[in-house]
Amino acid sequence: MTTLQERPYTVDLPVPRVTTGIADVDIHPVPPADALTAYLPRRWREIVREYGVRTTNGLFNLGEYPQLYGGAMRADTWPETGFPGSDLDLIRKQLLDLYDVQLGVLQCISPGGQALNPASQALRPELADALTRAVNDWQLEHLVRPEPRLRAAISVAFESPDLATAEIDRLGSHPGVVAVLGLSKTRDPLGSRRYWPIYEAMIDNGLPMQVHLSQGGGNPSTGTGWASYHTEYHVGQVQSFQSQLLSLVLSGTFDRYPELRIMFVEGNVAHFVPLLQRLDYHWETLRSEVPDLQRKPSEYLADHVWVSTQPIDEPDKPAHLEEYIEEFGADNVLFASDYPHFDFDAPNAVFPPSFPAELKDKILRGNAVRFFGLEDGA
Amino acid sequence: MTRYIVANATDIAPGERKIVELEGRSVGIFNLDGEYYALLNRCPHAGAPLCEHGTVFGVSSAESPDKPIDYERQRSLRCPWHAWEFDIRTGVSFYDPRNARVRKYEVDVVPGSPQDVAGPDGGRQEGPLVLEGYAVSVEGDVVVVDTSRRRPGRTREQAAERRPAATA
Ligand code: FES
Repeated sequence: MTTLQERPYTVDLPVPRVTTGIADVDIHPVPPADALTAYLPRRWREIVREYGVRTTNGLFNLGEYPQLYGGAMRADTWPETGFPGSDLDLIRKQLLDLYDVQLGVLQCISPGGQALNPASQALRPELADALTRAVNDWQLEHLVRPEPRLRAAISVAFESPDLATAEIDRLGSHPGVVAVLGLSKTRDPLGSRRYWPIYEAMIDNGLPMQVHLSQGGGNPSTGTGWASYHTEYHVGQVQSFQSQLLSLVLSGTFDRYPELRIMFVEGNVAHFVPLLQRLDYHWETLRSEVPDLQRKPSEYLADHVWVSTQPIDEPDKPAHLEEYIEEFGADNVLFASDYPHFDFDAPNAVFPPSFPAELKDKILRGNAVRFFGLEDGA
Repeated sequence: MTRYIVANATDIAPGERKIVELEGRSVGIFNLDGEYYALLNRCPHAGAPLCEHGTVFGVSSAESPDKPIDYERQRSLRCPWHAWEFDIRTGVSFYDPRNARVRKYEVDVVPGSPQDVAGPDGGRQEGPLVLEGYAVSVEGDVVVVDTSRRRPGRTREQAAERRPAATA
């Protein structure tokens, strides 16, 4: 496995360490108003100003589902001006300092509103490219540089692999970058060969991918159409993660790329377990359809698939949480807070008192070291 | 029974709230159109600052689909994090009334008296009420929070009424 230390450094930043504190793999920064302007070439600045952006769902100013009041933000995270996630001091106070986060990974999903979601820019790839580059330059300069506890998962124009790989190569060796940001709603399932160049570029740069819950991509938000209710969307969104996992396994993507590391972010944990058991069961009898698959489906998990905890499963019997996690794989689950969104998980409150200390330690620290390839630096 | 003066009645305007510390705990006092309620400023789910950043909402419900929807204003306090809702009068969760409950405090508005001088550093003062912990001027009415845990006893009939009806 390539580790961060093997990459050429272009900036003087220490390798992230997770020793006494914790790793939080899902923090959402928002660029303050106009912050991206300076990073956008003039041509695109004017296009955005005069024509707006192009979304796959046709809804320029609306989300794909009714949004919870308050923009689905934690009500105590609004800074005096601007959006939650736009004020570095508040991120420090409410998250990094409070919970001793030593590695906080930025997932800049919808900078300044869902219209800028790179998945939504699929129909104008050059604009998606300009916007994602601007987001990356902004977050490295304004968040990671002044606050090295934060590191970036870089945004890319995911539906245009030529542009995405160029961006991965541009920033892949920057020590402020620890992952590539993928999206749960893509135009095609993630095992599709059109995305393979992205995986190759990630591996060349020693980077894993965090596939975050997203809108956009052009497909409805559920397998049978659009959700009517926030609740329907919020619970049903795991469908897309399930499809992505099935596609990645059955397409043989993991056989093709033995170093590929993928984390599903904000897709829960528990529901993946029965899905994989069922996949194993059917693969036993239907394996002649995919004879080149080298392993039993569930066996790919340990080497290739990680999940993050948030929004944590809260079974009535607290001991069941431990079982869910053990069944998925105790070495492949990481803590995520989702700050500053309303379904934020606090690391000191998510684990029931009976939760084993050793497992908690893996989720909060150890597993992040392995996923992000920090062994040599820890 | 320990009762604390937490504010002049005029300090908390209708629709406003005040967060104070009593016996080491953060407590929120709400004035809803002249009725005062006080709850512990800590969500029983995951510890969010419930009173400080929670939103006061109405509660709506219907007997069954297509029946009229009843709406009661200012009945619910919604947590700033995961949006659990609590009855602002009792602290009982609407969503999981049997298991989730915020500690509730009795609040009174009483006339202040010159003996009620309370020190800002928590010095205890004897007056018609036992007062401590909050500096107030004593001109008009004051808001008083009772931190005792004792609840008025229930009669057997009242207790029986509160039990869920037997399903048969
Ligand atoms: S902390 Fe209040 S609802 Fe979760």
